[in-house]
Amino acid sequence: MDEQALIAAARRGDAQAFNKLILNYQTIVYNVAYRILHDQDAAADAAQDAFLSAYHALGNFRGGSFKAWLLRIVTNGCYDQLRAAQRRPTSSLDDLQVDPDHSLMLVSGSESPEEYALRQDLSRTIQAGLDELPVDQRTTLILSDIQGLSYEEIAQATSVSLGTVKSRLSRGRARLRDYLQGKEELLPSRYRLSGR
Amino acid sequence: MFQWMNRSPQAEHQFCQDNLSSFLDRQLTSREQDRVARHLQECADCRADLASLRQTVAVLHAMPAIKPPRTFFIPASEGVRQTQVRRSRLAYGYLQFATAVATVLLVLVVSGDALLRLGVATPTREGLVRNVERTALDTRAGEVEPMATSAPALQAPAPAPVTSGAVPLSSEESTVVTMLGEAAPPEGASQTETAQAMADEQALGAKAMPSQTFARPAAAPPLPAGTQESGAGTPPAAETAPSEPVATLEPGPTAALEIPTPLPTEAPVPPTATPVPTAVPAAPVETPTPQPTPVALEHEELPPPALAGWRRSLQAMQPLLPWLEWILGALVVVLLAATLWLRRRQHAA
Repeated sequence: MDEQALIAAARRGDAQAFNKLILNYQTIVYNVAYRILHDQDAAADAAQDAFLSAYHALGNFRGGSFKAWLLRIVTNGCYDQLRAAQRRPTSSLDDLQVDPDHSLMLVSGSESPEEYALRQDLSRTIQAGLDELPVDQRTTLILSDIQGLSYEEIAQATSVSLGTVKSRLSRGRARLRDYLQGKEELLPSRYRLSGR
Repeated sequence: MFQWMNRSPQAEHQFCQDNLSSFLDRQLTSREQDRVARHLQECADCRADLASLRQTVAVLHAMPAIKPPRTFFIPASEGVRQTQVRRSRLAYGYLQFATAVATVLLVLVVSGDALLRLGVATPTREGLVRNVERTALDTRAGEVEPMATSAPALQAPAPAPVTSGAVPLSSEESTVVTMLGEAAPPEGASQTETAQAMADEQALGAKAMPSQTFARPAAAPPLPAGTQESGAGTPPAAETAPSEPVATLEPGPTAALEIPTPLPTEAPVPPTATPVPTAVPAAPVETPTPQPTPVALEHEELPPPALAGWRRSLQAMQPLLPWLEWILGALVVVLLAATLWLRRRQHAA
């Protein structure tokens, strides 16, 4: 069954059809939420809320990219969580320890322990650099350079114009580049930015 | 075409710095792409920035995808609940509409009932009778109007006794006659109606003006026998033989009249005294004139069909209106309660 048929069935109240859509998009939705929030539980809650909201708001979906529509819902949910976190600042204990069940360590079973350590360092450094960005530039960078969305899909997911997407992306990349150039000792040699 | 040759190197450098990211993603127009590419050939700093930017994007692309810790399936009961919510919203909309309609109907019925009770919608019997009498008078005047063409023939002899100066009327009488003449009904009106109108006018005048102005004296001043005869006999003479009025007024008694009249009118009677002969043409109409009451009843029995139907339906509905108000009121209360209950249930869900 193709995506449009699944959406139509879900609109009629077929939860199983919507679960098939969830199966297709849950990885990207969770990844975007995790990169924005940098918290596993918060990202999982944001993803679950986004799918529930999407199921209830299916009547408002007017066609176009279903992925972009879903990502718009989840990014809005992430913004809400960040605003709530700014009002009630807390520190997550999950980030201080290595979660054996978390997929960051189980992406590929064929990699060596050294490669695993390098990838983990790289991920932490990049995530720290993303955390330094303003949330709108961070979201645009995540959607474009990590999730590989087109400019049009990003514009739809973030409800901004193409020009705004371009400028956010340009400024976000430049700031992240500057951050990573300051942390070159933490990057693997092949990823070191020796431009200047 | 060669505008880029005139631009300063500083402007070209700034343009390149601003558009390196879009240049990397090939999101510029072909002309802009060429412009950035030309500057990159000349500027080492911009080439280095482009390389670092490309490396940053490569680092981001190398970020591994994270496997979600769990699935985010929604339970099947959520589908049932969603359907219920959708139906509930639909029912809420219908209930709101029904409540609005019932409320409007209730307001219409209550206001209509109030208008009926106040008597605005249904005219009272007195008002109807008054309207009918007015209509009958107007109708009759319209019927008699063509006869006025023959009136001059009847009125022509009348001035004869007047101009003779022998009219035995006192000033009060002349005033009354003048008033009656001014307020006299149309020429075709019967004497009965004329008398009725006179009585009405006297009654109204008695309220509004001093009584001695309009009321005829209780005891009329004594008049000579001939005058009384002629005065009493004037209307019949005019009625019976209008073509020979001079014959009824003999010169002998007329000359005697000038001496004993208590309030003699030496001067010729003004034309206002003509009402005496004006009553003359009313005589032929007197016999076939129907009584006003049967006319009123007849007119009341035959109102316009639409008005009659409307009055009948209103009169038939009037006893039912209180029941209708109660039923509609109860319906509005029930619908309002159901709407509020459904709204609270939706909010709770």
